[in-house]
Amino acid sequence: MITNIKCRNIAGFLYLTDDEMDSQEALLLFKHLASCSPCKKSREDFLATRRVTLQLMKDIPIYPDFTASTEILIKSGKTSTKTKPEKPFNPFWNNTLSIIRFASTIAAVFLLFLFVWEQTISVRKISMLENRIQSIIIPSEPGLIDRITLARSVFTVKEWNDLAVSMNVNQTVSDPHDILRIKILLEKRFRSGKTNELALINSLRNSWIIKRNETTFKNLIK
Amino acid sequence: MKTKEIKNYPWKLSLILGILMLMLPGCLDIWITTQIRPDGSIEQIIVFQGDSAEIADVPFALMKEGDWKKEWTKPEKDKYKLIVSKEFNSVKDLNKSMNPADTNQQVIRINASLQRKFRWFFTRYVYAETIQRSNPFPGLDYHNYLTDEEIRLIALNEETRKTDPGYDSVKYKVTEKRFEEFLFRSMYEDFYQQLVSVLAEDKSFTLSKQVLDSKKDVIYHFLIDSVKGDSSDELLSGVGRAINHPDIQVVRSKYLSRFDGFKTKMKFYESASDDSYKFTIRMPGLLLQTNSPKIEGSETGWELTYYDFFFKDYTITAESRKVNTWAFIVAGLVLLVALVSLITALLRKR
Repeated sequence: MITNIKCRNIAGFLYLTDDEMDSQEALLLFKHLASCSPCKKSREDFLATRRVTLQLMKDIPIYPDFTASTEILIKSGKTSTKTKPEKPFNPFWNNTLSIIRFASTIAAVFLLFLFVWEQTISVRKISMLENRIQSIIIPSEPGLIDRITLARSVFTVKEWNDLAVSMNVNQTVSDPHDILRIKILLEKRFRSGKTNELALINSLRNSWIIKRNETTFKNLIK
Repeated sequence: MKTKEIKNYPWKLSLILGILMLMLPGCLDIWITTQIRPDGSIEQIIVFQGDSAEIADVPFALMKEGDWKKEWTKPEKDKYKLIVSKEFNSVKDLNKSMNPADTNQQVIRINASLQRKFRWFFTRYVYAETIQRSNPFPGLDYHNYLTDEEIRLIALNEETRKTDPGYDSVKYKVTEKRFEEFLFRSMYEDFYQQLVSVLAEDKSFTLSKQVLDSKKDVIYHFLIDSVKGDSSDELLSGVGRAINHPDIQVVRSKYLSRFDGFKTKMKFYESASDDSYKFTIRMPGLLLQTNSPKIEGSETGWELTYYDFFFKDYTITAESRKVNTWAFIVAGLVLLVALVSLITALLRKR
């Protein structure tokens, strides 16, 4: 038998009507109210408010089917007509798919890394080979593009020679291949960082280009 | 280059210059092409061009093997061409042919190696051929006569040598003399050691090693300056005259066949030294690395002289990679599965 009932133990019952409690709950509440005036006051306030509310609702019409339709909904267990039930999913497939997702992601990342790694090694080796071989390869015949370039070049043989001398390239022009050699040597100097574009332009300007049309010069260095 | 300087020495003149002069029209051009296949099998095609007698006597072991496919072509400008080819299942089989187990055979030996490295998307192929040191008279250390730079210059052909930055005509004449000294000293050493071993075997000989050693240098100079022949018999005769000892006459009559090895070595040197050797390696896939100065696609080439591999081994290498198409397909499928499963998971969470 509970003798010392605390306020917080019966707080939930203060706002229920008598028919909403069972006999045990009602007994506990009434025993506590007998000894606790603040709870008793709260209970009386609630009941008074309820009475007033019910009095006021007397004149509000209630649709005849309201109670019945609500009862049907409650009985069928549906609280909302809009809510869809979740489809049941087989846990075996769920686990399998998780494993596949994990494994394929790891494998894909690994393969991607492997591909990049292999490519890096290959590119490094090919670059080294190209750097070594570049000084050896001089085309036996000028290609089509080179021939067109040479044919339309505004450089004269003398100018190519001047350019070679001013850029410290140890090559003079006696046939079209020599011009290609100068190009290759100049390209090598640029790549190795021994000279830069500005140095070339200044060299051109100082050696002979000053005598030429400025527009032609601009077109050339483009 | 060697011919001009050796005129002072009768033995040299007969031994080398005379034979070389005879051989000159018949010196061979030799092209050795090796095709590496993706499965590791190898096809080797060797072309010999020159005098037909010289071709029949080329210093390669393969000429004694019957399973090489041989094809003679019609002579062009008096030059015959023999094309020999063979397919090998592996580099091991190739080595059996090009580097025979019998070390007494005086041939140019090539030892090859092939590594196939599987790297999923690509397979890398690293192929190397080592042309083994082909000095048949290895008794002396060349470092006592020549520097590495001098050896490099000796190995160059005459045109290339003259344009080489390290070439100096005056200095090179001295190098030539030292090289000849090394060459003839090496030949003599081989001959001398054979003579010493014959004398040691027969107890009836009174000529001791100590006596012979004390006259070693005298004999060398006598042979160089006074002996005109190049056969073992003539050389032994020269030794007899130099030291005036009856045992040498006995060696000549009883043990001449023991100097056949020296004769074979001389023949090998004469045969191999004037030929030009052009090696080509064709790799599968994309070429990545090589020590060749000549590249065309995945084909690499080396033009060597005998002296490139006379003093020490010469290794030619090439590395390439071949794409494994199936690996890309598998990787694509894995990537697809990963993407689909990730997207599905994202959609399910929403």
